[in-house]
Amino acid sequence: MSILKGYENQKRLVYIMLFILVAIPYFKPIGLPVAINDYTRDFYDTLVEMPEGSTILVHYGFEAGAWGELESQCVSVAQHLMKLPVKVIFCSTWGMGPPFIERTFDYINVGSKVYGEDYINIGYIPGWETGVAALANDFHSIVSVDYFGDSIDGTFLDDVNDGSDIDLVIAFECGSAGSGTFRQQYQVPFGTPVLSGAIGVIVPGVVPFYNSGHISGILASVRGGAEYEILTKNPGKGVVGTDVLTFAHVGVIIAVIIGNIIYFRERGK
Amino acid sequence: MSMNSASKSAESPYIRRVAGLDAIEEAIERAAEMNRPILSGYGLGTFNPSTLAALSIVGYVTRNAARTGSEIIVPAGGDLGTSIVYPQAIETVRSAYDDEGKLEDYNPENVVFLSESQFAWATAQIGMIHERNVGALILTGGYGPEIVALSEEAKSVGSIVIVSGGLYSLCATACIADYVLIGEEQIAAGAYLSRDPLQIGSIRGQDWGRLIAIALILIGVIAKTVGFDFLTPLLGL
Amino acid sequence: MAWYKRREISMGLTSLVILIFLIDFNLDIPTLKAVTNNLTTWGTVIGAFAIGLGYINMYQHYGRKVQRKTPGWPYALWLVIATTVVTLVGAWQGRTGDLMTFFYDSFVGPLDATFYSIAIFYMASAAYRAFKFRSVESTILLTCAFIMLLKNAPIGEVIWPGFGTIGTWLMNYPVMGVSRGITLSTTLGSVALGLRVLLGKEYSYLAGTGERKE
Repeated sequence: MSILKGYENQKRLVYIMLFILVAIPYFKPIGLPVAINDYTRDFYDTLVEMPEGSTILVHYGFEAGAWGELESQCVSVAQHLMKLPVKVIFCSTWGMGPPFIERTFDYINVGSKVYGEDYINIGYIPGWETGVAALANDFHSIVSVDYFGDSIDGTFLDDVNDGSDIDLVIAFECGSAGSGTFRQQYQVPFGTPVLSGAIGVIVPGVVPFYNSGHISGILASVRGGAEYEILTKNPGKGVVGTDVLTFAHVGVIIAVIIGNIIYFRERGK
Repeated sequence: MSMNSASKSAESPYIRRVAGLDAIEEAIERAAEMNRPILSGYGLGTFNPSTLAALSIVGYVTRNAARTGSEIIVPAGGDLGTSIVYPQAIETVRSAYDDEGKLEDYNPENVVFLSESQFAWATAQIGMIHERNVGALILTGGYGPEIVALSEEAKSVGSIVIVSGGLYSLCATACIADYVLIGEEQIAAGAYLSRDPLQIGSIRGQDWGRLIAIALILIGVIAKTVGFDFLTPLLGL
Repeated sequence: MAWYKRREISMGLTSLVILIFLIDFNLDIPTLKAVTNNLTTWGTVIGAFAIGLGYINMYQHYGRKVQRKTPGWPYALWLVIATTVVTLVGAWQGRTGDLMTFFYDSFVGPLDATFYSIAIFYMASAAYRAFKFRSVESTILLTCAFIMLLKNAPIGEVIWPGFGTIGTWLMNYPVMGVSRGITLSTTLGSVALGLRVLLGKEYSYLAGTGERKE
């Protein structure tokens, strides 16, 4: 059949099939069940076990493209942090990260937490790994104002001087200046535990560090966000997204099967 | 020590062939025969080991391109860190042309900063691949998920594709690219391509380091299995 | 050649800075810590200025395209106009202004998300091409790919829990072993590269090889 002749035509058919398969659950959610991974459970347990008054650094290491995968993680974790008796510092070494911190606050309820006393957004930290190193070695040398340009004097950051004053790091990542950077700059020198919220392609690279104990927990892509929403009893976009995820995986499997059928047909001729 | 002994030896120490690095010359010659430009990128990030290695490869590709008369395009951008590397990339390309005595062929417009946004940079490169009908795509350094798109688009215009697979995108790029440089093959590129005995000696030194690591792993596994774990406190783990 | 352009000056400076950071990492010398903190801050500031250089080059490149009306020049003109407008709005309102937020939410966010979403289509076509029963190795690759796809699909473990068990075993043993091997090799390579840079044996990153052809 000529429509199947040539890789370029076959590729287009694969794209159309995948598009249709992904669109179906997006417009008509099914509510397929979700199993909880061990590393998601460890992520949750690490957060829940933080002592009262702990200072947690949350890093948004991604830009707009990864928001689709990380939104459910960021929103569910941020909402959970607002319910825990901890202090939270939000920051980003990615230029487009800070707006997503503010967007997260549009989706959550901060409850009785007060900005400046219990949480703060210090915005963009320039320099990638150099910036993270500067943050770990001398916090106030690189941060003097928050995201809105107001001085951080008089906030809880007066008690934060270097990495030893940070009790936990949560790194949402889609590439460089992610959990690896914070592992090198915080976990190794100061022993600060690091949690990772990663996009799907990053997870295989993070798992070895989870298995060795350097990373204390991982949220893997949309599924990790859905699992965390289930654990914190706060269902949201993650749970909806798991249907789409399932159908996308099934679509790839179907594409591989079709590819093999065509391959054997052409080999037989 | 390896570097030292290599410098005293008359011959270059033996080092296995790295298919991806050897294929660079073949890719450049093919692009020259087809009269199509070469696109050689150094990826994302500031001056980390993979970016340093990628700049070495860009310099090598440029010298070969200058020698064969091919046009070379070096797209910069992708994140804020690459801005720091960008002036060095300009100098690397210009000096490579100068070293070949072809400074008049150097076109500064071909070392272009596209965007500090990762996907805008990738989209611009895809546009270049189709617009300029690139004959060879040589991407080394750090890349994100856009490397899959770049490799696929380059294959669609019939380019030869040589990429370095970071841990994250290795599986996807291995399915698409003609040659993949895995991990250390890229880091050692500068030494490998220079054929300098001293630098190749340092690669041999790395092999000794690897052997020591393997030995420690084996000893540690056996020691832990029999219940006599002396290595963990010794190494301070 | 002017003395400050000599490669030896650049290599010497590089080696000196590497030594300072190496010594600071391993020894606790307060004076050196202040030096490294300053150097780190300088690096951050230089990075910020380097972005400006990149944008100047971008204006030159695309401005020339518009001037010469090369193929695709309307897109180059659009790029120049968009960059200029957003830069001026950012300078006027700051990064948290309403118009900046509108630009980000309406243009940058959706465009980035669109390109990122396209990756699944490329992955699917790569899987379609690569995963075939061609040889023993490709069959093993195909089998593992199936198991991992079903392990990562939320429904997979509900269909058969074995996908989760086998998939987790694959991640925890073969994949982790290979990842650690690659990471170890890359780290050793990075150390060797750093040593070559420190000793001045690796200078290709600086600018050419200096072996000019006559």
